[in-house]
Amino acid sequence: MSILLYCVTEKSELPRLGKGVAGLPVLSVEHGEIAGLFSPGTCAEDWKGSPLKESARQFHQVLHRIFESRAIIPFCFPTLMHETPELARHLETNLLEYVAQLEKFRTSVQMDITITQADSARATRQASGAEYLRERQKQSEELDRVASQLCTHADSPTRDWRTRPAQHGLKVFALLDRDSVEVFNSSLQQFRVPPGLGIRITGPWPVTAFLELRQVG
Amino acid sequence: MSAPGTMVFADTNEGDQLALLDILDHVLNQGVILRGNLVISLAGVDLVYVGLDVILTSIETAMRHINATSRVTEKTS
Repeated sequence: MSILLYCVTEKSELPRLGKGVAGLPVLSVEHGEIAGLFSPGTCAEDWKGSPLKESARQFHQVLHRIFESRAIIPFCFPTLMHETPELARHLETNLLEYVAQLEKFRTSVQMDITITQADSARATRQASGAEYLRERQKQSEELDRVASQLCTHADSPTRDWRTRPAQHGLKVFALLDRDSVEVFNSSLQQFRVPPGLGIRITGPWPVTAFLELRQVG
Repeated sequence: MSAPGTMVFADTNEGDQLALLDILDHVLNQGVILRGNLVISLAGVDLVYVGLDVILTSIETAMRHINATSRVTEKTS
């Protein structure tokens, strides 16, 4: 038996936690100013029983319920621990790191922008290796240029940006205040998408792309 | 001729609009990664042992960390 971890958040005025993955209750362990949320008595079979995608969706719903009203630091799904004292020790050991991150991003959310090329296979149709590389470089430069234009377009409500390569394109993450989401979306709606490109904007999400690397014990 | 560009918005507050791919990308790839003394066992045979500390990181910083660790490992081996 083990416990399934959802996230760490500030412990004050926790919303109703409800049901979690596989209908299991969502409970909390508190230490200092923070709380770790988990479902008890889980074993791998609990979430392997239903399709993984359904478990992932239920996991997301728990995070989303809590994230609606407060900052959270989610765990990757599935993160399991043996028992609640182990989670309590983890919170105690990493208390300062969690408090600092929750404080830093208390009013922040993340918007994800995925830029894809409709014809991403164009490069693979080139006759030679050199042509293939040239085409890939051209596609990459085009994505970078559009990402840069997007950032300029929505610069006003955005506090920070991150980018990383994605399958068939590029992902751009925007950090903004929770109450700036509408302004952000409105500013991007005015953006003229270049032919052959698709842009998908999702959010608001927890600020996972902006958490800072910490090596903690 | 290239297809016209498209832009789609999906609000996480309206679950139906959110693609499963978006959810999976977040719940599986983003967030705190905890690892420690993990033994993956298949038919009674232990296959993998992972003994690492806890990292609190974004996916790209995790990748940088992994790449840096790999380079150090290559140099020392």
